[in-house]
Amino acid sequence: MSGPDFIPAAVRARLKDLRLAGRRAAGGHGFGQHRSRSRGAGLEFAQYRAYEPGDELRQIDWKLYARSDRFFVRESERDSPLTAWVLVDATASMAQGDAARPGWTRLDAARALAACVFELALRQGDRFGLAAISGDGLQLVPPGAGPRHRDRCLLELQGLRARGDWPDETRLRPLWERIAAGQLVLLLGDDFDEGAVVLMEKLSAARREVLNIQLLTAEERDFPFRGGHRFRDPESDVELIGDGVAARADFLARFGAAREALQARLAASGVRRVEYFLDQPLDAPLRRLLAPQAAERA
Amino acid sequence: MSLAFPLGLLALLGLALPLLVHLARREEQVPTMFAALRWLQARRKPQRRFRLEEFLLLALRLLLVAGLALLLASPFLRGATGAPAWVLVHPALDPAQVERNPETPAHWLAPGFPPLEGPAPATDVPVASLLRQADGELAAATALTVWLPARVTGFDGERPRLSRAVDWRVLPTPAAAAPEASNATPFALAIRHAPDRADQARWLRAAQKAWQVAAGADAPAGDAAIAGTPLPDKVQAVAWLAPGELPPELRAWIEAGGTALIAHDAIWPITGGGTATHDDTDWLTETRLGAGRVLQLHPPLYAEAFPALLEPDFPARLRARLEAAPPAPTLADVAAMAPRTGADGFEPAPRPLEPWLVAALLLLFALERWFAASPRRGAPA
Repeated sequence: MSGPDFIPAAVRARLKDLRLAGRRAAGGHGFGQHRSRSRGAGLEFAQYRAYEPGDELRQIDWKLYARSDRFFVRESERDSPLTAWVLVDATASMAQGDAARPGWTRLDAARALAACVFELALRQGDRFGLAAISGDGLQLVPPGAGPRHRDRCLLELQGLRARGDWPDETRLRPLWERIAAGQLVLLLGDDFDEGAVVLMEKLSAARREVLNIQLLTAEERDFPFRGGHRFRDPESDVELIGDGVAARADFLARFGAAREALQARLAASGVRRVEYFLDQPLDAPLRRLLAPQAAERA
Repeated sequence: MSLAFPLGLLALLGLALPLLVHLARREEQVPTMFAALRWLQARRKPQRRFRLEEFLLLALRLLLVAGLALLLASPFLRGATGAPAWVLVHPALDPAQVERNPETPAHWLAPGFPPLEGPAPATDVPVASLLRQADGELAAATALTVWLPARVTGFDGERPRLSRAVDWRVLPTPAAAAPEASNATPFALAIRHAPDRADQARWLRAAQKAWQVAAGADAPAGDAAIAGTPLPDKVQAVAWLAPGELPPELRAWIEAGGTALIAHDAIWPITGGGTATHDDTDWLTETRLGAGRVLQLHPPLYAEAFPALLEPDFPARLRARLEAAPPAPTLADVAAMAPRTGADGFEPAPRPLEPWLVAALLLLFALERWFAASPRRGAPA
């Protein structure tokens, strides 16, 4: 953990050219930097609609009136602020870290990534909220904006402890009440719980833009274990005794296949997922996730 | 190096123990948190790989077991080793007189070979025996120097024969006073007889007279009195002519080293014990009592029963029996008794190796424990 806001200075410097944007997510009400469904004055043409009494006369497209002999009002898209939700998986498996870097767990990475997202949202004037999901249930910070709201979220992150299993759906029901359609949801977790994947699929199907950074340890990528180990799943407390070298190839193949299957499954439901390994720089997954697509860039 | 108990080497079979310990698949189980357990399959370490782990520790343990087996076999070294030179000084000499290298170990020529720095032991040492002992105990290469006064007792009849050449140093010091030879010394016999046996005591008094005449007129000859009279101070022998048991004070005198001639009907003081030696003439039985001797006459002391009393050589024969055999002549001119070489070397006493072995094993054990418990290893075996 580096500093009270979890973001190392080098990472903070590299955050400058990142921009939090959804592809489907649209801004809500008010003025912001995101395309929104609210129409009004703006640069980008949206539609014509029939004049209604009360519309300002200067909004009438007089050239169109000349062609069609009807009053039409030219509407533009209005850029609005976005609401971004950060969902942090705080189940017991998030306490796992690498032996090579003790004290840097998945949860620490999730804290730092969440702080990065808050920082981006704050810079853009967007609203952001935090939901931590652990064995104790759901801890929510309703969306808001501004530095004080960021500090509130960071404080919530600070007190977060990894424990328990993924809660069942009834306990997650407040999420559905809070996260409105068209909002951006970023889930930070290891995605080992089926409940998390199902939640992402459902959110995505319900017109929320869901992003996912799967936090994996370097040991899960490389399986550098040698000699006998007693592997213990922190959530189910199942233990398994195996030799690192002997189990390596099989594990890497199976785990790689599982990750590909997850990628395909999430992509099929419109969830964008990137992997983050604990030994990578913090901004790498954000960069991959938030990079503007080629069409947008053009 | 030889083994006193070679069967102890059977314990070398114990070498299989550390080998087995190191061959055994040590289920080293480092507890590891691993959430992706779902995709992990338990794979044990492949069995057929015949791999010994931790060679250094294994070697230490093998050494330890082998050392224990060797300890059981009780190894010892033949061949004495020791100082290159030894100096032996006769106790009659003053150590200051002896020229010697201070580095060389010097000892008194006395039982146990006490070091020369200590007080001088008694001077009547068996020189020849000690020389042989030193010759046997010292290594073959050790040069032996012996310092002696010009005349000492304690030699054998011939020149000592040793396995090595001895540097034989004789100092012209006043020799220990040699006891004079006692061929013509007076012999005093105290006669104690029962009141009714004065006639028997006559014969012995005659013998007393005969000895006195031979030794000189003023020589003491002893006395004759009835039983119960205290013994005079200087007598070589007592004749007890009374029936019945010997009085306790006489027995005490005999046990202290005296010689007694007892009558045929005196009751033998000891039952069973003692070794009797019969004279060829069969008139005397001799046995030992304590440090002294008891001679019992077989016939009663009168001429009818004991014709030898009438023989002219009876006093001489009696005295020959009463006198203990004179000590073998041990006083010798040291210069003439320089040892000869040519004796077979003694087999030196084997030197046991156990203390060294035990120390080495303890060291090995400490080393093994240190390696086994050192933190760079994963888990103690």
